[in-house]
Amino acid sequence: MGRHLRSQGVRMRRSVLMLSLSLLVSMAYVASVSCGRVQYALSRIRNAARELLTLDEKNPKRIFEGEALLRRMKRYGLLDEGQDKLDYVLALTVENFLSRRLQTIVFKRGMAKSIHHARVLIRQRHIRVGRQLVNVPSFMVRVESENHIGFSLTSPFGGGGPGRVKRKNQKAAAKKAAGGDGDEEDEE
Amino acid sequence: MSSVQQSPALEILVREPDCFSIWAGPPFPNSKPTSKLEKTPCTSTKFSEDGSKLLVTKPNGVVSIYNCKSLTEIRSFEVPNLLASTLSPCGTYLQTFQKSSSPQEKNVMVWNVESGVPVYQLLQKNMSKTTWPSIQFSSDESTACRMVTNEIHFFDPKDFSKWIIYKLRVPGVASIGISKAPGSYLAAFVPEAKGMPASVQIYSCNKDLQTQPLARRSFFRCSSVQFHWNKDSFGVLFVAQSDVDKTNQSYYGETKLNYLTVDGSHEGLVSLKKEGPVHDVQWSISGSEFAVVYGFMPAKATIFDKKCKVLVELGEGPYNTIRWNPKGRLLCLAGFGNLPGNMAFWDCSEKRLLGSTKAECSVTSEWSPDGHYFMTATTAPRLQIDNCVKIFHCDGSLYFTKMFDRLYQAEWKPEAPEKFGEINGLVKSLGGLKIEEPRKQAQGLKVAQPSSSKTANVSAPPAKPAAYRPPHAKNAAVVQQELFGGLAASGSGEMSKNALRNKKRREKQREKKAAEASGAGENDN
Repeated sequence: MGRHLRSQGVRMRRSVLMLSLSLLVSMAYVASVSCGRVQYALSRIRNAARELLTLDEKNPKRIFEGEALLRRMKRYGLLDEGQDKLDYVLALTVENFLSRRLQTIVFKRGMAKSIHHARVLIRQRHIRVGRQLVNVPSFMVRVESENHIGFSLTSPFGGGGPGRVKRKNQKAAAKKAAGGDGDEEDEE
Repeated sequence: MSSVQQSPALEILVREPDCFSIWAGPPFPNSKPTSKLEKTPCTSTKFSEDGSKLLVTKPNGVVSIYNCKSLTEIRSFEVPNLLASTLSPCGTYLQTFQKSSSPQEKNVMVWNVESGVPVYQLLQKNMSKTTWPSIQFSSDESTACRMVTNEIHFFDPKDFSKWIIYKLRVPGVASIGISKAPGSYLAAFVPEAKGMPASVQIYSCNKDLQTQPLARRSFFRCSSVQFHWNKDSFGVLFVAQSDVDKTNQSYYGETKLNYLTVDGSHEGLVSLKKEGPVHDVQWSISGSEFAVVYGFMPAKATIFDKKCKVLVELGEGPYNTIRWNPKGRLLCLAGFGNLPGNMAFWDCSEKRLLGSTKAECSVTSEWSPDGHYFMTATTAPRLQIDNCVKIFHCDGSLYFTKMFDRLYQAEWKPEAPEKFGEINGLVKSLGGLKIEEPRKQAQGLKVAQPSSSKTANVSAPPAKPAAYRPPHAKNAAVVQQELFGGLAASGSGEMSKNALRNKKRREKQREKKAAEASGAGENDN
């Protein structure tokens, strides 16, 4: 299993090297493994679209699977409302996919100070999508969920109580105030 | 246009250096406005929100309040070292800010206009955009509140002598917006602090419900917020601005439009299809929809309903301002400021463009309270030349314009839109629009006739400047024809020296060729 993963990593790194430099720079926050993962997914989708396009226009398989593919792309925000042909699927790029990750969307919607801050917030369980707490930065955000991204209700950013560190400090301060009257001259 | 019942007359206030005058509003008899109040010396003027009183600041720190119906002075206050003054929305109270001469002196005073007695005084060190007016009123004056560090104090507007009725504790509050009508909610903005995100919270103004915010929204990347409350206080739209754009797309910073409803049905960003700053957002007068102009130029304009669903897409264009017609259905999209001044008039219910025109260099723009006219004004100190007032019909045709040497302020006297009749008749008749060629319409300086005709003409922008013709083209025959017309000499007409020379040369060559040909022909033979 480990051997298999390592070789897969090598294969991915080689393909990632083929990515344009500008893309790597703009998406520098995303690990190269993630880029490779996205490239793999994109190539699978493009192969499917290419295969469907070779079929006849009225072929039931083309119609059925083509519609399903387009519906999935639109649902995840990779294609706009006006792009309803399989050819648009062939024009998708890695950047389209990377910009639908929860990490980028949290940053773009102003909920984080920087893109790295967005990753930290997600990982530290502050962000919810709808009512579900999402802990995964590579969560592909659907178009209908995009408006329901917010701070989770238990998080200190979203109206819950203070977090662990603050609670600890408050306790220490309370203890000091209550029980430290005698020792105060010694401390500080 | 008055309908069955008596509608109040429109009035326009015009302020020039050192004095102001009030004109009787359109329609103007004899194409000239009549003056209702002659030039009166002043340094600044402001109507109260409901238009019942007029605040006039005279030099030497004298503040006069005029009754707008009779245009007589009701009361005059002597306020030394006056820095700013403002009227409450119904005109009942006057707030003044003085430069404090001693640290103990209370330099903000609230006066009762009717009685002329100061009812409340407080000390405030600085005046900034978020802290003036110190005491904010709702539009019907049912609530009054004041923001101090970490707290919001509520007063009873009917009786200021009760002092602070209750306090609301909001740690870190930086700016507040009280809902307009009815005044039962308060939106408070707490900026970012030490890792905690900035947040906007809605509280109820009712004392009993005040423990928890009714709704809140947290976000990062924001330094200031502008509130836009709905007419029936359904929700508040706020534009969160930040000075630095972290996405590196704009030098001017970024703005985001958020919508927070009181019942919590929507909280979050308004989904806008185009990236870029939010130039303008305005609720309609009825409060059930709002229009947004957003995106990098050319900006997109969209109308949303109060549930944040898209109603109408108004296309793209060089616009950055929205002005809703007080009677509700019409909308003016305009591009003022650093844009060339295109104005487009839309009928939102029928989703039809009524007309478009241009009003260059306008600084302010406002619909008349009855919704028939749209006035734009170019004012000093923003622009020192071309100060003028232009009045358009609701379809964009120019009705009246007047140039001034220096104009400081031009505005309509506010009136409640309910007092005027509907403009249905006028809008229906605009189905027969005729678009005239630009040259036929008179240039801006001439006063157009008051158009009472039903088939209004769409006013075209002033004629495009003449095409640039390089010097050598001056001699082209076409241009000569245009310039001199029938004055050209007959026969061969005017020919330039070069043309004449070429002609001669060609004729000579032709003769030569003919001679050679005939000669060659002879030789051949």
